[in-house]
Order: sequence, then structure tokens, then C-alpha cells
Amino acid sequence: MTHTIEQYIAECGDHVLHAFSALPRPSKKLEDWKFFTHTEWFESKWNISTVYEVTPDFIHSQLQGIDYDSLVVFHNGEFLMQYSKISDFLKISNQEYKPIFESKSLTQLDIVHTANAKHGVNIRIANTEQSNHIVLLSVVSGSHTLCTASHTIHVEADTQCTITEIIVSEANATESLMLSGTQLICNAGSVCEYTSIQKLHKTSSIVQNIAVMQLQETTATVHAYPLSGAYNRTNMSAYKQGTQAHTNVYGILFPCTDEHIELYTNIYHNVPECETNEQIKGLGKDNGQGVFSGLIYVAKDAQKTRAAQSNKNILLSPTAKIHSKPQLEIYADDVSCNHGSTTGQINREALWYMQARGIDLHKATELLLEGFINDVLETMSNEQVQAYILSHIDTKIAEI
Amino acid sequence: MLHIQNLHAAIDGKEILKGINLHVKPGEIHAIMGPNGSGKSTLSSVLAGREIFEVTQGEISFMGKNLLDLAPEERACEGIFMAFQYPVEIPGVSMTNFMKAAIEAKHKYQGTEPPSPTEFLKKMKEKRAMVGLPDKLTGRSVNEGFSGGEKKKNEIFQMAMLEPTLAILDETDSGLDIDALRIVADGVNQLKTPNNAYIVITHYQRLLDYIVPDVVHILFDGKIIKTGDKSLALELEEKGYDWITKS
Ligand SMILES: Nc1ncnc2c1ncn2[C@@H]1O[C@H](COP(=O)(O)OP(=O)(O)OP(=O)(O)O)[C@@H](O)[C@H]1O
Ligand SMILES: [Mg+2]
Repeated sequence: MTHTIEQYIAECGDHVLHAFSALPRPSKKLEDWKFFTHTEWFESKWNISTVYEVTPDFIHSQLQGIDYDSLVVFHNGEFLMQYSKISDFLKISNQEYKPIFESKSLTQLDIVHTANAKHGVNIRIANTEQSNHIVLLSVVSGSHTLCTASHTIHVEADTQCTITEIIVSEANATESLMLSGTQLICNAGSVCEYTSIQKLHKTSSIVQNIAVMQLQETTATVHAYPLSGAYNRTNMSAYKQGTQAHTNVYGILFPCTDEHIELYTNIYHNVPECETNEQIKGLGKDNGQGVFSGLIYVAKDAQKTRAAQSNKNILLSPTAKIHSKPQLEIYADDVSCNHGSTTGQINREALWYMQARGIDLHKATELLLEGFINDVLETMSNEQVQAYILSHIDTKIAEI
Repeated sequence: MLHIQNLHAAIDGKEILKGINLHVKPGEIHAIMGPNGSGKSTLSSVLAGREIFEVTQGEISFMGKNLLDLAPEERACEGIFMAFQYPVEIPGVSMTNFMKAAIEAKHKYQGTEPPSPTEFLKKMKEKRAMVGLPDKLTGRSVNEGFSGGEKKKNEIFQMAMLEPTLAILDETDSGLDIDALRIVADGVNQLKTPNNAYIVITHYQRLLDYIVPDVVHILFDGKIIKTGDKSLALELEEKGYDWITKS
């Protein structure tokens, strides 16, 4: 049976419907949603609870040689214990999802996202001396599927871990929509590297919400890779609750033919002596559309904040667009903050130089673009995940 | 080896080369001198195949092939090398990856096996030592953060790696200190064989003390207005350009 979003919400109960009705629909009238028309989502009929089969072979093929210590698998938002591997230092429970922070700019999509509280897990990562790579793999199947998932990950005090979340859609997931969210709670002294990858079919869409809460003396590094899809959006927020909470955000946008890829980041400095380092690169091809909107907010009490944000983009065709919107909002006086944004074309002189050395235009372009994104990509410590991402980006470059 | 007949070339409709004739035989060194803006770099770029210049008239044959039919990368693989007057910085592309791509392209074009990684690195080290290019530079991006002189040495290093049949050195001497000039010139002389040739573009007689030319040409306003032996360079140094351009 298919549902419109409103029918689905009505079935979720009065309180859900009530919350839904009180919020605005994402539209061009809202500053944070103005670059894409989402109205179709509210008119479409969605498959919400249809059951599809997914094979272990398919799941493993999606990992493309990425090794893990723990693997947590989801299919259309549902946790699949039988395909997962949970190591001793991981505790998984079905505790109900509660947003760690109430966003000021909620839309109806947020209600749709959390209406099914059963989808998603609560993961607690304990301190261990061993290597600790946790992979969350989420598969979307079926035409016109609407699925949701919300995860909460607690990184215990003084724990070091690497988390890679990969969301892929199967070829049959045409016109599907995934609303997904992962919140990370980094307890004092923890060091966490989280990579978020969405690789979707060309008619599939996703909104991925990442919320990071950091206690004192933590380092959270977020790598955002919304790789492909009709509409692929990542909202990332970080909230610093303790001093010496350092946040690194790295990401690459590469919208190609008919793709619309957005990255919105909001980093809140509410306490003193924290750092943020944000570096986003964008490549745009054909009629690809990209958006990078990055807010760094420094509250009055957040003295000695250090923050740097940089966004560099290269447009490979006259019809490609990347909207860049860096925003610094600073209310403290003893801070060091800077940001910069540039958008340009591919460096013709460099291409010519390489051609003059015998390298054909195609290879020269590849070297140049790989070189352009390399300083962002190589910040990732897991080389297998890096290779996974690069191979996808290379495929896009090869089509130029 | 190289035959240029009545070459005319323009950019944005403005004619820069106005009928160049030049013939280079294997084993020869030709020097081209001439005032600023006379078209020396344009001539090198046209030989290397830069597409922003339009060849409006004339012919160029190289080793029996019509050069104008070949893309820039094909010309390079055929053995033409131009050392840039202003080498370009390529952020994010390491010297090693860049050189590897260039060597691989050449072998692919010629249908030969590229060197193994060990052979390649050995050759890099050897040639680096030959032109006195500091070790640390090969780990960096191409020309990024190189000093002016280091960039010029890097051009000669690339030439040594690629072993061209015809090398065009566009003011490789400017920006080099006296010792570096000697090292670079020694490198060029070592690479010299009876089968390859050089076109050396320079403003200064000094370079020609080290790299001794067989023929010296003077390019003025897009044309070669005088050709002579190495004594022409000496004469020019003494008298300036006026005596030829005004007569
Ligand atoms: N890309 C370009 N666009 C427009 N004009 C150009 C371009 N390149 C060269 N020219 C013009 O062509 C003429 C010849 O320039 P070229 O660089 O070949 O001179 P040159 O002999 O190498 O001079 P120099 O000794 O200063 O290096 C100059 O008038 C120059 O302004
Ligand atoms: Mg010049």
C-alpha cells in the first residue's frame, strides 16, 4: 500500500500529526531549503512498509574491501542483526531516539524522519586498546521507497574510535527517499573520526542529519561525502559542551548530471577554548548543482575560540553551479576566526603544462582534480575508506 | 629534423609570427636572440602545440611528420620538449606523480614497456643529482613553492627524464645564479648527442659560453632578420639590437 507523507503521518498518531502541522514544509521560502524544490516529495505516493529481500552477498559487495571490527547493517532503515557483526566493545540497544539538541529550524521533514522511532539503534562504544573501526551500512531497496533511520552513538570517555557510515541504494530503488540521522555523543577525552558516505542511484534522494555533541577535551572529525543521488543533502551540526572540544569538518561535493548535492554545516561554540577547522571542496559538472552553507557561531562566552573555514570550488562546465555561503556569527571578542571561499575554473595553464610533457588532456584533468581534492581526502586516517571514496570520485572524473 | 617554412601565427587575430623559416639538423644547437616581445616564446609555444595560437600560414615538419597535425601531448611523445620561460605551478600534483604520468604517456605512445617503480625512482634520483635539484622538491607539488631558479632547474630535470629529440629552452638561463647556470649548462651538454638538437632562447651571451651554438638567429617583430655563427651573439652583446634593426 502506498501513502502520501501526510497519510503516513496521520497513521503515526495525533501527537505526531500535531507536531507535523505546526512546522513549515521545506520550500524556497526557507533560507536553508531555498536551492531545491521539495514539493514533489509531499505529493508523491510512497512505499513505506513493503518488505524487500537483501542478500548477504549484496551487502558485502557494498563494502568494497573496507575492513571493520564491527559491522551494523540496516535495510530500509531496519536493523539486520543476522548480517551484522558486533564486537565485544560495542553495546547495541533499541532505546528510543531523542534528539540531543533541538534545532531552531525544524521542518516537517524532521517529523517524518523521527516518526518511526523503531528504526535505528543506540550504540555505545567502550574504551578499548584494540583497533576500533565500526561500519554502519544502510541499504535502500525498492521503487518509491520512503525509509527512515535514526541512530545515537555514545563514545565513552577517553575512547578512540573510527566510525564509517555508508548509505547505498540498490539499482531498484528508483525515486526513493531516505531520511537518516546519526547523532554522536563524544564523552570527555574521546577522539572520534566519523565518515558519512551516501552513494545513491541517480533518481534516489537522501537527507542525512549528523549531530555531534562534544564534551571537554574531545576531538571529533567529521568527513562528509554525499557522493551521488538526485538530491543528496547532509546537515551537520556540532555543539561544544566542554572546553578544548575540537571539531574538524572535511567534505567534498561533486554534483554531476542532474544531481543536486548540498552540505549544510552549523558549528556552535558555546564554551571557551574550542577549535574548529573546516575545509570543503566542490567540483561541479554538466548541470550539477551544489550548495555549501557553513555557519560557525561563537557565543559571547566562547572566548579564545579558534575557527577556520575554507571552501574552494571548481566548475567544469558553464552550466554547473555551486552556491557557497560561509557565515561567521561571532559575539565574543577574544577569538581568532577566518573564512574564505573561492570558485573558479580548471587551471588551463596547468593543463597546458602537462600536455606539453606528453600527458593527454584526460589524464591531465584527472591529475589536476585529484590534486585539488587530495588535501581534504588525505585527512582521513582510514586508507581503505579513502580509496572507496576516491574510486567513486574518479569514476565521475573519468566521465568528463 | 625540424623544418619551419614561412610560419605565420596569430593570437586573437593579432599576428605575432610573420613568416619564420628555420631548419635544424640532428646534433645542432641553435640560439635565438631578440628583443622583448619579438615572438621568441610564441615560436616555442607554437612548436609545442599551444592551441591558443592560430597558425595562419606555413608548415612545420619534424622527423618527417607534419607537426601541425599533432596534439601537444603527441608532439611531446614524438620527442619535442619545451622548457617553459615561466614554469607553471600545479598545486596538489606531486613531482613524482607528474613525472610518472609523463614517462608512462611516452611509453604508451611508443608502445614500449614503462620502467618499473624502482627503475623510475632510480632515474629520478640520478637526473636530480645531474641538474642539482634539491631532494626535498620532488616530494612537493609541481613547481609549488620552488624558487625562480629551482623552477628553471626543474625544467632541465624534466628534460633529462624525458630525453627529447628536440629541446627548446626558453630563457632557461634567466633567474639562475652563476653556479646554477654552469650546472644546467653541463647537464645540457651531457645530454647532447649527435641525434638530438637544441633551440636555445636567451638574452645573454653568457649562456652561449657554456652551451656553444652552431647557429645564432635574431628574431625581430615575428621574423628572423639575421642568422650567423656564435660571433653574432658577441656582436649583439656589444652593439645592442639597433645596428641590425635600423639598418
Ligand atoms: N597569450 C597572449 N595573448 C596576447 N598576446 C600575446 C600572448 N602571448 C604573447 N603575446 C604577444 O605576442 C608578442 C610576442 O610575445 P612573446 O612572448 O613571444 O615575446 P618574447 O620574444 O618571448 O619576449 P621576451 O623576451 O620578453 O620573453 C608580444 O607582443 C606579446 O604581447
Ligand atoms: Mg619569451
